[in-house]
Formats: sequence, C-alpha cells, structure tokens
Amino acid sequence: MIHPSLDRLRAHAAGELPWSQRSRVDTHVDRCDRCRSELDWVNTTRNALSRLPVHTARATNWEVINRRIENGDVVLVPKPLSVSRLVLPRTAVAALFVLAFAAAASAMVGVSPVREWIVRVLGGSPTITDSPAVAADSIQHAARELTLLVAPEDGAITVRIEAPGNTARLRVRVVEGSELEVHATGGAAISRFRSAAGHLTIVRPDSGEIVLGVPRSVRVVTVQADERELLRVQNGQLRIQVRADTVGPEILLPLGSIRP
Amino acid sequence: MPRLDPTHTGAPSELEVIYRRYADAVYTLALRITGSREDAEDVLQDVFVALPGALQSYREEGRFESWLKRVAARIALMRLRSKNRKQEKPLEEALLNGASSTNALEQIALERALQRLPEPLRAVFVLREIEGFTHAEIAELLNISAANSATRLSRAWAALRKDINP
Repeated sequence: MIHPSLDRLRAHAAGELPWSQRSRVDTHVDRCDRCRSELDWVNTTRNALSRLPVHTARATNWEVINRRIENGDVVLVPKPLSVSRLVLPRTAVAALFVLAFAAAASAMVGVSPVREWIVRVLGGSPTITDSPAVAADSIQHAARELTLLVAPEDGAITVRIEAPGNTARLRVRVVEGSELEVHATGGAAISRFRSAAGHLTIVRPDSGEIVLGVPRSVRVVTVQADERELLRVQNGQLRIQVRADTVGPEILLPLGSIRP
Repeated sequence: MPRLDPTHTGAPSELEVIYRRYADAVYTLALRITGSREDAEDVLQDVFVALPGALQSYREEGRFESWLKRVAARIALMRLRSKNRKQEKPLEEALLNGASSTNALEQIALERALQRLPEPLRAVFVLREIEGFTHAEIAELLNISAANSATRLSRAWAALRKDINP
C-alpha cells in the first residue's frame, strides 16, 4: 500500500488537490488508520495555527518611533529584486541547458512549440506550418510574461489546467491564424507549461492571467481545469460549462471559482 | 487608504491611528519571522518610521493591511539577513503574554516548535500558513522561486511533525 506523503495530506487539508487526487486520498484515508491519524494531526495543527494569538507590542515602541521621526531617521523599505536580477544568475545554466535541448529537439522534428517560443522571445517571426509535430517540452518559466504557440493535431487542441490557484484568471478570445496563442502574465507566467502538438498543460497557475487566443481555423478547442471541462469551441460553436463573464469579445473565467 | 502628511505633527496623527490599529499585527508577524522580541520591536519601529515614505508607493490595490504586512515582512527578512541582529532570547514571556487561557499550552507548544524551525523554512511557513501569503508573493519576498517556496513549506511541515510528535 502506498501512503500519501505528509505534503499531500497537507495539500488535501488545504483544499489544494485536484478533485481526482482528493478522492484518491479520501479513499485511502478511509481504510488506513495511520494516514487518518496523520490527516487528523494536519487538520488539528492548521486549526491551531489559525487560532494563534496576536501579540501585543509594548507601548514604548510608539515613543521610540516618534523620537526617531523627530530626529529625521530614515528607513527605506527594501524593494524586491527585479525579475532579470532575480532570475538570471540563478537559472542561467538551467536556461542555457533548456535552450540547447530545445534547439536540438527542434532540429530533429519539423515543428516544435519550444522553437516557436524561442523564435518569438528572440524577436524573430514564428514559423507556421501545417504539419503537427510531436515535440513535448517542459519549462519552468521565470519571466513574468510568457508567450507560446501550440499547433493543433488533427485540427484539435486540448488545454489542461492543473491545480489553479484562487486568484488565477483565464481569458479566452478568438484570433486569426492556425495555432493557439498562449500568453501568461503575473504568477501564471511562472507556472509549469508542457506543450506538444495538440496539447497544452499548465500546472499550478497560482495567480495572474492566462490568455488563450483560439484560432478560428482550429476545428475543436477544449479547455479543462482539474479534468473538468470549462469550455469547448467546436466548428465555430462555443459551449461554456461554468459561470463566466463576457468582456467585449472575450470570455473571462476566474479559475479559483471552478475548483471543487 | 490612509494618507499621511509627513509634516503633520498634530495629535492623534494619521500615523498614530495606523499604529494603533496595526502595530500588534506587524509586531506579531515580525516576532514569528525573526524569533526574537527585540528584533521584532526593531522591525515594528522601522516599519512605522519608513511608513510615510513607503506610502508614496502604495497604489490602493488590495487591502491596506496586506500591503503593510508585505512591507513588514520585507523589513523583517532584511533583519534576518542583517549582521546586526540582536541576540535571540527565549520567547516564553512574549508567548505567554499573547496566549489565550484555554489553549495556552497548545499555542505555546506550537509557537515553540515554530521557533525551532530553521529560519529559511520558518519564514515560508509563517508567511504561508499563518499570514496567508501566496507562494508567488513569498517567492518575491525571499528572492526564490515559487516552486522553492512550496518545497520549503513541505519541509517545514515535515520538520514540525517530527518536532511535535517524534
């Protein structure tokens, strides 16, 4: 019997697991005393954490603050490092490795979503071809914005969003062209993206926005979150399975609201 | 949004109103991150000395308390990295002052266990599980990736489990 890890039990208690995994954990916990006890401990601890007291600051602090301000004391709030400073030194080697791998993969296959992404990032014009490729990639993006293209396979594209955060949003619009345009900003841009011809998986978009530009020419586009179908575009007909807002020519879905 | 006039010296000033409302929350956050009452008081003072200037960059997006806590967390984390940290002292007194009578022992045990967590894990745990920051926000504060933040949280839970019930 494989027991769920403590982290999985914690994610279960925090409501962070997708529905399928959640029910698997529930089933296991029902018949495993050890894991039930662990889950109870996690729940008890989370409860206790939510009831931890607020500590009282001594009144003398206000006097000190006043004195320091009167004396012209200046404190600057440290700013977060800019994205470029934050990312480049730590991931330069990894990024080079990914780029080298992607370039090699692109050379071996006709078309690769990775190559399209690289071409776009580097400022070139993306190559658009009708022949779908089977080049999967998996990139941990560090930038705050990301754009990539996904080629259809047999005229269809499936987008899967796994474990979306409460504040992540999905925006869907119709565009010209033959490939699905994906643009992610904010927290969504540092999610994990896996793409192959006809498929795109976005893992754990914590916050921010994902914009899907659905091409008119693609026959079927399906968007799922945690295995639940959110919307489907089929032969020009749009079917939305959840509550969504229409903003001008776009559909806006707050992903947090569709979690089970 | 509170608006501060830095030249305003009347009483009670806007700064004092904000202090009265949020000082305890800022102090508690700083106490849990730094693990030292003296450091937490320094952080509290630094936050409110910095506030008139810092408010100029406040954009009225989201709750003011969340913004203030992010400022406090930045200053507390800077203090953690600083070489001028004051000697850590046991938190018993501080913890006893804040604990409610019914759950005092449980709360003290939990707070003690939190303080025994290694600093990098404790900061993530406090920010995520107590203060409700997202991994993306923690990542920005600590200059780490969101994935690293999630990993640290997982390790913190494991360490806490081992500590509370070995």
